Amino acid sequence: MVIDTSALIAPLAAASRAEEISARLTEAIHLGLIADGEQLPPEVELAQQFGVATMTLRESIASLRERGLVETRRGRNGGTFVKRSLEPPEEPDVARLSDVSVGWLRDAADEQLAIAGLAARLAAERAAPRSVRLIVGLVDQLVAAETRGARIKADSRFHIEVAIATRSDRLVRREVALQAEVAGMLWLPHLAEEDVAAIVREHHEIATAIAAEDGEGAQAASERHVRANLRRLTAAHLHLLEDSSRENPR
Amino acid sequence: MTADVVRSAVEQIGRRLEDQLAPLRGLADQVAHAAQGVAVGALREKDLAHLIAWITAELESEAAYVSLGFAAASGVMAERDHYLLWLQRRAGGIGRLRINLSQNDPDLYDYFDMEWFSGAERRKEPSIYGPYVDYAGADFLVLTVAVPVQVGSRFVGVAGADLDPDELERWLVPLLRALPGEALVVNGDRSVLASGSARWMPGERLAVHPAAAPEGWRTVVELSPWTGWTLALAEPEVDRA
Repeated sequence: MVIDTSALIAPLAAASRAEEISARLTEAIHLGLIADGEQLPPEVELAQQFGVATMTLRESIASLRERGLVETRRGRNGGTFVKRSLEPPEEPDVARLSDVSVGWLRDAADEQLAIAGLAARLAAERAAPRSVRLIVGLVDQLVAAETRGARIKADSRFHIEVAIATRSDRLVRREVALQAEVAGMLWLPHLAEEDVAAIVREHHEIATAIAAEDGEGAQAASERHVRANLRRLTAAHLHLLEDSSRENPR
Repeated sequence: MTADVVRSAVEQIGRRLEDQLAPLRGLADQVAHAAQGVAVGALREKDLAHLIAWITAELESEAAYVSLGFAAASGVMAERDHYLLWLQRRAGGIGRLRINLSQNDPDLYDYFDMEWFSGAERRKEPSIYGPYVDYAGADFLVLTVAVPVQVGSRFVGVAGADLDPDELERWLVPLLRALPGEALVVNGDRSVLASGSARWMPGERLAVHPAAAPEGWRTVVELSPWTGWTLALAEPEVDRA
């Protein structure tokens, strides 16, 4: 007998699949894996590629459209096109950071501790020389980055490259989803220059431990970095709340 | 006795790897044929379009391949410097791999300096890299293997494929299990590719390459030289109880 479990699991699974796909596409666009102006394949074809229902894919594309990452044109030469701005607008990230609770930020950091901490450890134990070069290079890229867009990119690519070095598909996917959620909120004008310098230092520590094949050191450095980022995000969130209550006094 | 068994395993692994290269050599010949007589830098996509059907058929019949295609060397194609005719097996069927090859984009997928490509170019023989998570390309853990395409002495690119490491494990592990003792295959970066025991995990890195410290092993043998892979047979584990 075949038991149909789809009614039990489908709604939840479908929602998270749509989120996973939009996180994946968001990061792909931010990281430049898809060129600016490139047309996405037709919905049916793309849905097949991801192995999801067309409705699920449509949901993912809609959330990309809301974030201004794609635009859909009608007509004979119509379709959905990638709109990669090198400088993603601040407003959506400011809005998200003021809407979330500190509890939500702590929860996201808990997941990041598990994923990024372990990824740094395994990267130190496993990374191929090419991966180590890329990771070290991405610290320099963050130092050189001067704009918000360039910093978001150097920051998330660093963490994704560490996950890639572990050779674990699953860790990479989780890290990509986390970066899509959090990186934009970290790099907002509330972030002080000394925090920027501290983030560079923290990335440098992680990279150095990975290059030295020091698993425990890499994990500890990565966990310190996640905790420091949680404090930065929380401080920025609280500032945003104060600003908005000053503007809209009750 | 052990030496004979190991030699036979090494030969079997070599034959299997050579079989795996056959479609790549076939594709390399066809690309070379298409490029013959075409001036440097004048090759066009339409000159290669007929290969799509052939590549699709190969992918359909060869489960070990996740993808298969041609990657052009710099200055070969008329339309663009970086050019891939690369087909990939996806959940929804076989389709062309789409990645960022825009010339002036800083995020261009620059494969010219990737080991599988540059290794085949430099050594004029097959090369293999991985396993690695090809996030920008295949999008999962693969090994990329490439055979150089030569027109006379001119290097015009590689015929390449992404291999599923699980498929490699499926045929390699039984051969390792048949050896008298615990055995593993490790690449030049010290990464374990497959092991006949639970002592080592694929993807883990050894602290020291067996070839650098053969005294710690019963036997250390190089596999097909182009792979950079080494087979090592361990001394029986000492019971520390």
